[in-house]
Amino acid sequence: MPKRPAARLKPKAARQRKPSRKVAGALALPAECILGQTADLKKSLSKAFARNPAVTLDLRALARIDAAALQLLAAFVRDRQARNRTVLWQGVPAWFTDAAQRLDMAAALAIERT
Amino acid sequence: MTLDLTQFHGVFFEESFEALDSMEAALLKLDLGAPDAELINTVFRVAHSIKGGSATFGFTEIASFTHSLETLLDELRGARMQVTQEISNQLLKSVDVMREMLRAVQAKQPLDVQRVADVQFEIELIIARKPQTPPADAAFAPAVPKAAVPRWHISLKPFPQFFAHGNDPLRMFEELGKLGTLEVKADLSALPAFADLDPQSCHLAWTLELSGTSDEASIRQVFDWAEGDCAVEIRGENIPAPTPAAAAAPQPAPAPIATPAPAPAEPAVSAALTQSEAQAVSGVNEAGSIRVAVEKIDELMNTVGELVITQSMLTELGRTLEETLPETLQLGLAELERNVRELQESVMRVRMLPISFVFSRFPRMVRDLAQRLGKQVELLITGETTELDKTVLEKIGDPLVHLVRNSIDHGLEKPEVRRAAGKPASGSLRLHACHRGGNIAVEVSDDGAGLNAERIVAKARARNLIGPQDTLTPEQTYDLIFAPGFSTAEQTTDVSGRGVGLDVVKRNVKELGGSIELSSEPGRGARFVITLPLTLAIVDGQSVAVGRESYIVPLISIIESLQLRQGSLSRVAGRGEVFAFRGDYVPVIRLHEVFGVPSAREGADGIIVVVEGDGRRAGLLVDDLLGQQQVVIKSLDMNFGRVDGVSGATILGDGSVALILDLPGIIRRANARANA
Repeated sequence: MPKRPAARLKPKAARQRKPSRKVAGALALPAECILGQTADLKKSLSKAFARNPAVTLDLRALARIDAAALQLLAAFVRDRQARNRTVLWQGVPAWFTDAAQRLDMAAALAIERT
Repeated sequence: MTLDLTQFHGVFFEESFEALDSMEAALLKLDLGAPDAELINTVFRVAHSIKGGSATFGFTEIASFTHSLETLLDELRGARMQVTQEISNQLLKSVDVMREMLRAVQAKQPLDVQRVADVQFEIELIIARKPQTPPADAAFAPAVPKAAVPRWHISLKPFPQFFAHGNDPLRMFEELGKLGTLEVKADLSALPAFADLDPQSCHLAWTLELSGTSDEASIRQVFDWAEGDCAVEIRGENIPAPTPAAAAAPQPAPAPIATPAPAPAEPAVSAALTQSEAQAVSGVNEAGSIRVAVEKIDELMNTVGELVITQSMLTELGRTLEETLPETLQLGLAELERNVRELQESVMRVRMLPISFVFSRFPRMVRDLAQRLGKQVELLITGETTELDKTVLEKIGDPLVHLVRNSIDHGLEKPEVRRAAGKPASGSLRLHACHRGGNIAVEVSDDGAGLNAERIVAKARARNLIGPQDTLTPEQTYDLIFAPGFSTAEQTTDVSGRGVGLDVVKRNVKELGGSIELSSEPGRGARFVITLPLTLAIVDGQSVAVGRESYIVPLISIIESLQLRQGSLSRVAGRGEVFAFRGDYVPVIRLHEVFGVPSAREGADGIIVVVEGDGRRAGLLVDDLLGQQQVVIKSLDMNFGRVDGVSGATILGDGSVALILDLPGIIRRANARANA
């Protein structure tokens, strides 16, 4: 039987949480990576692409992603791999891996369930 | 560049509200014993679409709520739960909550989070209480050999705009996963280089394998939201042939998506598609309607209004120069007049909407009220296709709600009372609309107890509304119930009986330029008939002269016009100047004084136009009656500012401007002057 909620419809506070510390060469993805934010995300990734031989994508603040953003990340990872540049993932939540696998994009993102 | 999704919000809200109306209508038709599968599918589709849209636009609370609702509907759809009265009530309550949430989000207002959480909790509780036994047919079904498990091959090829139109395959595949075991294969071969990638275009494609017992319609439904944004191919393998009964039953509508014609070896979708299904498949709406913003229509109305004025001016000029005007020009002017009138009527028709937009709220309201009051009510709606102007339509809703509530609360009796009176236990409430002349008549009638004239007279005497010796006709008696604060209800309920309502109904109807009539027969019921103009954009008016100015008096407010005779005006202490009119005295309002213009007839001669506004009569003293005509109303509020006593302005055939009188305002203004 479900537990009676008090007022459970405010998960945003949790989502706005920032990563606790910055990692060198890391790009922290915002809480929401959905279609409306993909243009900005592409800009951030492009900068990272240009500057760093190894980029760490920090997902600790990420709370929501859609297929458009996953498509962008897949293109980013594929192009970096083609240039022998590394993409590391940090703070990958299980739901993110589930989402990638649901679209059969886990391999393209170089992210597999551990 | 960031895609601004807010540009789609308007359409989302509009479509969601319409979808909720159809969801509510479908729920009200649900038969508790044997619910129609298509009705449940309709309800499910609405919840599913709203969930999809809300998730896309980031309205997480709505998406979360509709997800729970969708889960319950899925249980009903799969016949794993039965539609009970409790579930039916809960679903209707959910419609209310979804409406409230959408309204709040639309108005950027905070949600009533606790109410949402409570109703969502109730839904989840219902799902949790579901009987855990497997469905009977599954329990006794022979084991299906492994090789014969139905398998669906789905090819999803999104078009570039797929994401931008709010489609997310993550949600789609999640839904498909609920239908069986899903295997997904992504095709990234068309994905351009990162630098060249337009992140808002979709460059992916998928092939999916779904094993399970679901049917093609359920799979297609998942792609409902993606109409026109992708190509979907579905091919079945080991699909059991439909039973004769199932084949005869109407199939759920296939999703209106771009789908190639199935190969002959593939399972037949349905031998007989309904018209709407066929339209959905072809993606063509033969009715051919488009959504147009009201402002655009108003703008068009306004321009046509200007054109009518210009045409009137030309016609007037033509009349003046009749002798010298060539015949061809005269014919041209006559044709112009005819065409302009036709154009005006066509544009007016664009603003016309069927009254079903208002009537559609009543099935739910009547059901809820009847349940609350322990009454049985059968609602009969006729003439719901009758059309009237959108503005009138928006304003008629509240008066009708008052009348319907009154009928159920005071008119219709409880079943035991009705049986004792030899009537069927279920009362009948009828809503009817029809065109009558240039007006629309809306009727609310019931077969209840009717009005008790004796009790009305007794109450009126007790409240000194009438004298102890006054004898009233039935019409005059019934008219008393429209007096402010008048109620014969012995008990005040939260539904009605406080005497607040019918006076407001009458006032609202009057403000719309309409009238209300009531007839009743004791023991047989009551009948209210509201008569309204078809539009508020044009008014039938009497143009009157005051000095060198012209004013328009709405014809509907005029009782009579009389030539003033010597000595027919007198002064009464405390009431100012009055005029003897049919055994009564009506206060006289000298229009030139109200508007501060010099009168051409500074004496006792002139014309009295007896008018009624807001339930009060008055005699307007004017210089002359100029003629009756239809005038196009121009808003003063929008073009100048609000003026008490003036409801708008119009431009006359000679190009001069005439103010249209707002009689309740004029009477109030005159009273204020008299009391000053």
